[in-house]
Amino acid sequence: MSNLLHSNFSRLWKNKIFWLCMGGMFIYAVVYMLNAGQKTFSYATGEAYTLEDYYFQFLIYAGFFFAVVSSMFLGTDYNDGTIRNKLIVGHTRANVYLANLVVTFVASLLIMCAWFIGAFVGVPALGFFTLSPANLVGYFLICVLLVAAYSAINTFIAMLSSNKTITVLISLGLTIGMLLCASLLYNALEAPETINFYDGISISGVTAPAGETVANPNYIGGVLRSIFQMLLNILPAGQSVNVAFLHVEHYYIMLLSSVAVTVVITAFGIVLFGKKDLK
Amino acid sequence: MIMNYVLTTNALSKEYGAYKALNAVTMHIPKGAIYGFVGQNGAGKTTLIRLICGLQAATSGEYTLYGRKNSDKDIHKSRRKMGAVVETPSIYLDMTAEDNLKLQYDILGLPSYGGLAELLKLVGLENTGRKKARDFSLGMRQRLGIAVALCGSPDFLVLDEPINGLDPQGIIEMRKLILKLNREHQITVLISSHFLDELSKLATHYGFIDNGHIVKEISAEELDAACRKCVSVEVTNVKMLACVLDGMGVKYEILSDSCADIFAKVNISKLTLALAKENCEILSVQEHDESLENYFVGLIGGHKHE
Repeated sequence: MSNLLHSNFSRLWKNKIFWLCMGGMFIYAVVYMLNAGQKTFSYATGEAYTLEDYYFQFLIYAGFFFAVVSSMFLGTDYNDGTIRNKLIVGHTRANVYLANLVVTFVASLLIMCAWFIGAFVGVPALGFFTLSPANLVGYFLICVLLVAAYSAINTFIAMLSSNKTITVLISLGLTIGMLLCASLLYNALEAPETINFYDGISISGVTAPAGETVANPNYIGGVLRSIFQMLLNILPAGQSVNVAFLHVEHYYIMLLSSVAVTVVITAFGIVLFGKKDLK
Repeated sequence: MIMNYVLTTNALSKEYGAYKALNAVTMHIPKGAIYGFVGQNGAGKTTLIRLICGLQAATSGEYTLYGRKNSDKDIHKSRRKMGAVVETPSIYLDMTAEDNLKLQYDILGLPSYGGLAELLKLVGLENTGRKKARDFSLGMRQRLGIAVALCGSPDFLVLDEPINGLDPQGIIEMRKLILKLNREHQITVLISSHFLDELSKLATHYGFIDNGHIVKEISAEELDAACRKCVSVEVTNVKMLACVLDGMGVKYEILSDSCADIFAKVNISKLTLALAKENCEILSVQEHDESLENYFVGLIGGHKHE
């Protein structure tokens, strides 16, 4: 497999889309953090913003960068027919799949690093991290494994779809879909348990006298709340939202979930790719 | 004599749902041969090539590549000895010819890029410089595809329709290249094509496939012997010619009111005298061999009046 990795990385370093995404992510980080530096105080909470309040927010959009790079890079192998060159000379399908997963993972990781480096321009205005070193390591670890999960999903799509355009569309569509699901779950869980009526208006069909506190009908409780929370912790896009808004409570569950998603999807992908008729 | 085969297939079949693309194909490619794989579009040529290249799995049957069966876990070692261009050349269009070859060297794990310049020269792409493959002509792309397939010095080269879309000059260059690879580098070549005239200038062996089934395997020498001599004649009275030829016991085919093909090496003097007695004149005579095309058409069910 080392030969395939060598070849994949030689191609990655010459790939324009990869460098465009790297540069785009870096510039996005710089602009985003400089903009964040203009707003260092929260009037809602009365507290000053810290670096980590903005630092991990890229994860919400990072999936798009990962999807574009992975699908364009791996899709070229089908588009130009070059995947055949690897199989004809005797490389096994499992090795071709795994080598592609590794290069996708490293490319996505480097794009994430471009953000991390660029985002440090926010330090003069926002200060350094206030998270404990252990928590900070936990956040970075979650990010790395999250990238692995995204890479597994994008590799799965790219290796099973023989059409580059369709691969890009599916990857981007799935990223959008996962993000929408995660947002809906997150917002549902964020709904408060009770509502305060300051002026007696009707909220969500509930009407109460001014100043009274009533139960929020939109509040998700019981088993459903546990399921929603579990989904947010397991789904890559859910983890992205949780990390972006610093709502990480179960580090191990999130880390293990990413590993499980990566392993299961990759195993499934290798089996299906092994049976795929290539042209 | 024991033949040394690079590839043999035994009752190899491939089905796509209810459609049987290959139906128990059995073929033998001798070492050192240029094996012309002949068939119409959709006959199953590319399907068979995909199977032996490991791009698809057979539904049933087996093949043996350099002594290893396809079910052998070490079949990949045999594949290291082969290179192939299946349908379109497998090249990165956004890279130069040299970069494409370097990547294939990496895939093969070759220790250095030595021999790369010679390979480019062999296929006539040594002066392409920084030009990207997407800006190459079709012929150049085909030759680059072959160069990629030749990385690692394979002993067996599989070319699927290599002259499709090439201009006459490109076809001549491709023919010279294939002959050079076979004669100077001792590379066994499997070449599929439906350009029969071109194939007849190259092949040492033929395999004819029709509807997913091998109809005939034959060497070029056997084919030459099997192809009947043919004399085309133009006469003033073709009915009289038919009577005379019937009397001589010779097979023929009437083409028009004045022309006919005679499938035998006839004595022109005797024929002329016999026709003169019946007041029939010979206007022209042209001798030629029956072509590979005629043989192929006859083989797969073309009709011929004998």
